[in-house]
Amino acid sequence: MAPVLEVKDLQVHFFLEEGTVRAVDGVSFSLEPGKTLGIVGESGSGKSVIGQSILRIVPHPGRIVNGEILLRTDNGNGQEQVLDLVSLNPRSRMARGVRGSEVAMIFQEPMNSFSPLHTIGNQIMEALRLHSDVSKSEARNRAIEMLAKVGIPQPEHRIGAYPHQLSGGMRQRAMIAMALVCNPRILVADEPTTALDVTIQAQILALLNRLQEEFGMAILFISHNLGVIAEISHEVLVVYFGRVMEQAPVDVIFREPVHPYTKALLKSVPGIDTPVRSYLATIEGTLPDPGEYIVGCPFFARCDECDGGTVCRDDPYELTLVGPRHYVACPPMCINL
Amino acid sequence: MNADQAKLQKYLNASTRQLIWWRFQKHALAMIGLVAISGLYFSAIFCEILAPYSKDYRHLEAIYGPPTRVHIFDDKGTIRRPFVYGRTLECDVEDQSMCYLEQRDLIYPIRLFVRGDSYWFWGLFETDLHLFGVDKPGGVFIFGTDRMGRDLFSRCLYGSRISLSVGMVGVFMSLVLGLVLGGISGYTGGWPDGLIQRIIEVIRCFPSIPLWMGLSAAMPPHWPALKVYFAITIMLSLIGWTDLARMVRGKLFALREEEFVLAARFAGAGHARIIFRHLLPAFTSHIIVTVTLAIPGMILGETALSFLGIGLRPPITSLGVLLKEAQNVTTIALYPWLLIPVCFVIAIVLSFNFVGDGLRDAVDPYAR
Amino acid sequence: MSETEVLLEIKDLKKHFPIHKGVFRKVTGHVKAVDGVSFNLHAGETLGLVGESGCGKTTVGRMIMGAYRPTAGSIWFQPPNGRPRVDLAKVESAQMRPLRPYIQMVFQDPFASLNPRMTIREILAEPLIVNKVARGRDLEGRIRELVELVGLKVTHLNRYPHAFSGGQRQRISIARALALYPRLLVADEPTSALDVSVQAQIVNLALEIQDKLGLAYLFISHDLGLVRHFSQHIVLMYVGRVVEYAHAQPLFARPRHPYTEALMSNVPSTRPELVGRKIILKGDPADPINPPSGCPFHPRCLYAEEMCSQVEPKLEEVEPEHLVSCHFKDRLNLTGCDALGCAV
Repeated sequence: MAPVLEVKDLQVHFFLEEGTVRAVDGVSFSLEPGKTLGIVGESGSGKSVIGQSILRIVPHPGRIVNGEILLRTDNGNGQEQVLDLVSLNPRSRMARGVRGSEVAMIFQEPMNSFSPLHTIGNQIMEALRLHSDVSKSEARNRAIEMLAKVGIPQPEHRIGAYPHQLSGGMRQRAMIAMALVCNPRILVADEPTTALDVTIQAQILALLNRLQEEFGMAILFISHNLGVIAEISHEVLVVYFGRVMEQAPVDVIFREPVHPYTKALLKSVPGIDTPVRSYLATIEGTLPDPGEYIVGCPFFARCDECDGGTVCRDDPYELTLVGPRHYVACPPMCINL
Repeated sequence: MNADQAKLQKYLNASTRQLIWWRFQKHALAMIGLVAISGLYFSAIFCEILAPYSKDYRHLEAIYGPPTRVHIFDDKGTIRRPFVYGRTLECDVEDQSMCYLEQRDLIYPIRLFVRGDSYWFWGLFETDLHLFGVDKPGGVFIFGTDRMGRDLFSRCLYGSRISLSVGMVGVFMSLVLGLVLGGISGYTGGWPDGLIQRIIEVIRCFPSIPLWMGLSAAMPPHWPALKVYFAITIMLSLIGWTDLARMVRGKLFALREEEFVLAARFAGAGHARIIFRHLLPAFTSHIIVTVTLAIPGMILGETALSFLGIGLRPPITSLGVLLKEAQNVTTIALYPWLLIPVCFVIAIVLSFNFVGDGLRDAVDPYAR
Repeated sequence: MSETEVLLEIKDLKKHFPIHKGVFRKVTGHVKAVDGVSFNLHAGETLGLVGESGCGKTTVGRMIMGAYRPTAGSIWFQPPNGRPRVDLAKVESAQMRPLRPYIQMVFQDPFASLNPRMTIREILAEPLIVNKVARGRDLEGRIRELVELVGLKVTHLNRYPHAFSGGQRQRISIARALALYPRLLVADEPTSALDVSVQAQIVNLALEIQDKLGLAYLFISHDLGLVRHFSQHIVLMYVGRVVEYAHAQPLFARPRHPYTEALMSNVPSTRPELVGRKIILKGDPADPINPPSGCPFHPRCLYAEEMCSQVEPKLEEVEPEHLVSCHFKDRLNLTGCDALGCAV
């Protein structure tokens, strides 16, 4: 099936006074309809910026300097067209037409996404009426329908509730309802469960799975929690310092990781096999300087796998295919070791 | 990468104060305001030297004189050092208007560091040195003269000294009141907080000008000028402290629950240490911002009172007192230079506002 | 000092926060943040206090530190050198002062727990100065010792908190807490705000320090995987009450409370194909202002019966050293973490 979103060599730089920070430095992936791509990385990896770039809401002083974000959409006459989101002016009508109706986003803090002055019903209806021509009562019915779909009890009453009157889990559900009310093709989820309790998180993840089956949208799920990514994604992207370290289907990447960074991440979390109260494996060193430009693999300085070989540092960064849909940022010669 | 590394080291080792100063420097308007305020205060401190004449000296031959023009080219077109022409007063009998004509044959070059009217420099020593001036009988009146022939430029300088100092003294008193009462309110909470807040609300309900008028009318008219000066500043600060108290209270409420304060308490720190070591430094910058933005209010208040005649009175010269001379529409129509003190007021108020804005933006280095 | 010496004995601890409403601030109800919590912490050991938001675990930690005065119950603390036990719940602030060095806290937010206007040297010196422990050269020596203990450099002492990353700031917080040689460290979600790789470093540091100095930890967290790795005992809280209290290994092998079972099954795993069924609970955690009648978990419990909504279960032993508050503790056969294969 043709991918609904194709990102090619995306580069997003932040032009600060102290220097230029290459937040995203050559990331490529594609999203298939009905499937979830998980982007996992720690702070400073650039994962959130990838999500923001798709919606063209990268904050100043960041700018997309290179790359393509190709969205497969239809041009209103039932014909398919491919739209390059990078070429759009973020403030243009077209961009606003895409945002919300074709690509929607949910965030970590639902309290910050809702206006505290309006009811959630109003906000969901506003989202709907901005993108389609429906009457107020139709919009209201749709909103109640959506609230029921996301599992909010008594939606006809809750539609008049203000955000602060809902619990964290309910607010997150309401935000999902607002995002999906226009039936977008893509849902970008930026750490949507990080601020939630474990039991509520499980509810929300189950809800997203169910909604994906029902609506068929593609999900781009961004998180730092390896377990959450493992549970919800079909394919996983591991990002470090703005570049992809490893990309693979979800069962492969956690069962047989190849890149040293992925392996190190998995080892630093206590698992079923880790002896209790043993020292966890840590990653030596720290992130490179944000303003630094690294030609090769940015993880080289902290990598302790291959002894002495510097080819991954000196050669320009590139991804090597090691299995079906499995890419690694190590040069081919190192992988066969 | 040595330059970059050095820069990084500087950033890492910088104190909060240095960070604030670096951020402040990025604001063009704020820096301009800072330079302007420095200039204004400099001229206020050294006004006796900078002013060519004393503030009360009456040049009876130059009543309501327009600003003297300073020339560099003389009639023949040659460049000379800056000079002024002599003036004679002529009365046009038909129009009943006074007219000053330049006498092109009398040339008075402007000299630096002349000897003029003598004065006491801040009560320390007597001298008669002035930055610039001309030989008698010429007169250099850059802003013209008023109805008693007093040089307006000199009076503006003396006036801004009084206005600026009233602002500072008044704000200092507000600061003390605001810190103490706001501090009690914010740190202890409970009924002292409630009581102080109600008092603040009552005070804020009063319309300020009628209140000041009432207080001013209650002042005995025979009081010496200095007493009047302090009475006015106390009056102004009695209303001005409420804003600061509220800000202090709000900040204390927020800071009390901050984790680093809790950590200090768990380490065993007592109230005094927490207040002076943790709470106060955390909002000193905000206090400075609020104070900087409160000074223009004080200055405007004093100017307004003096303009209405219920504030400072001659012989104390403030910008408001100067403006009182310009209350009459006819006067302004005929002698518009009498409004120049307004420019000083505007300059002062704008500069403080720019600096205050710049400070406010620079003060929260963590509010990215 | 024997390993089984009880350092902290919490008995029936309660904290009800009054809710004021209306113009005259009448008390209309209470938030029952902590509603009858009991457990023992042994010297040199780690006790994990686990629960979701609103369960009251942070409030328990704060009561131990003396930030709140308990509404009821006792907190018996054993000072060193054979002095008599003190009930921290009833102690006056003057009496609390000499005890402060023995009980210290590490906070969750590495950015808020350090005063941004003090250098690291000043931050570390504060507990020593306030308690008049060291001065001058001794002070400097002790500060350097602390800095090196947590893996930072002496050159860092002149810097301000803004120059450090989250993990480094947490190390500074730990160093500050260790300054006075405490016996008990209350760690309130110390790694929740940190990246996974940094979390591992802090965990290792904590283990190292515990081995070196023989501290006891009260590890408050919502992260089951981390708690399991770190603790000898575990107390699970729900809406202000203890639902299960046991040694870590038996708890994870075979939990006895339905909430524990559900919580364990909800922990996301990197090998979901190995995990058994996920128990998705209905609804939100109960409201501490108006907890459900009887067992507070009954509206969401899969095994609830009529008795559960009427009678509140007591915390009782189901096996030696394994306490549960459930009416059916002997009956239920719940699946544990090991069988679920839960790995984070």
